[in-house]
Amino acid sequence: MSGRAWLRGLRGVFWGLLFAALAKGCGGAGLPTTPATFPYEATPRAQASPTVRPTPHPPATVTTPRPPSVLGSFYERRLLSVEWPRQLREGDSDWVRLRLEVDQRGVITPTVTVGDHDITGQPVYIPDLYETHNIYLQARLAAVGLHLDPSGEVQEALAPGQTVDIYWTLRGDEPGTYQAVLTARLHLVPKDPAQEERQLLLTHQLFQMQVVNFLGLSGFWVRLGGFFSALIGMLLQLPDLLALWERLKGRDDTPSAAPADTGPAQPT
Amino acid sequence: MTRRWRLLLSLAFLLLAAIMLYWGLRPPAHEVVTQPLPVVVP
Repeated sequence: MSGRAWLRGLRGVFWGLLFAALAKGCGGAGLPTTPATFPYEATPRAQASPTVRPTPHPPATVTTPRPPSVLGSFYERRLLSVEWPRQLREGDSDWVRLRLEVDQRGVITPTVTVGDHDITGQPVYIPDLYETHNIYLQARLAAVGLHLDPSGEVQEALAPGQTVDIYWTLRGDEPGTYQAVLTARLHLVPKDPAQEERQLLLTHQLFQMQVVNFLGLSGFWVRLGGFFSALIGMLLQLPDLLALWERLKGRDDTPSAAPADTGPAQPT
Repeated sequence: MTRRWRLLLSLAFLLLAAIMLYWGLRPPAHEVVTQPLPVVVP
């Protein structure tokens, strides 16, 4: 009896599972999954999500209408990345890098667009500013107490499809925690002299760097100390190593030597 | 100095050398922050 009851229960579980699977398959939806998209990535018009709210007013800065087939190629993803050392050895130098990366399509077109497009899903029109402007990336790194090179503002010209890197080297001579501020701007210089130049702030990046030492020694002296410590450690073992070598050599020369000769060395 | 003391001293110096050389030669760790360019309207 108990065996039958058990079988009946098992059958019930099987049908329950089958029913649940069928219901899920037919219902289909489940929880809506949102694709992991880049937060600021512009979505092409053709691929816009159906949940995007239509906006009553079209973007005001649409100046150069383009055919839809071309529009897609102007939606771009550009990234600004800053790389810096968390820790610096006292007296040693290191570098900070500001990089303006191109996207996967190799496009780095400076853009004119309307804000909040990534939130509302508005299509974004992106005229190519290279046609009308010379564009420069300007950056300044400031860190009180650290030696920076170059100091002051650095400027690099932007070119279509090229990643731009700006490097600073820095050195800390006193241990401690230092605050650094990196400011980056786009400098738009119109080719038409009648128009005025513009500067657009890209980022203010704040970060911390620590300058550390080892028992009060800077990086150079620590390396030197490590070298001489290794040398002393090996020299201290030199007499024993030489004695061992002599013993092994003597054993090789006289294979019939007494076992006492090959024994451990006596303490000196 | 006995052989045992010489061995201990040698090991201590070699350990100190390893620590100092590791500290002095390891490449510093870098941090990277990546952010999308803000939307710009010239």
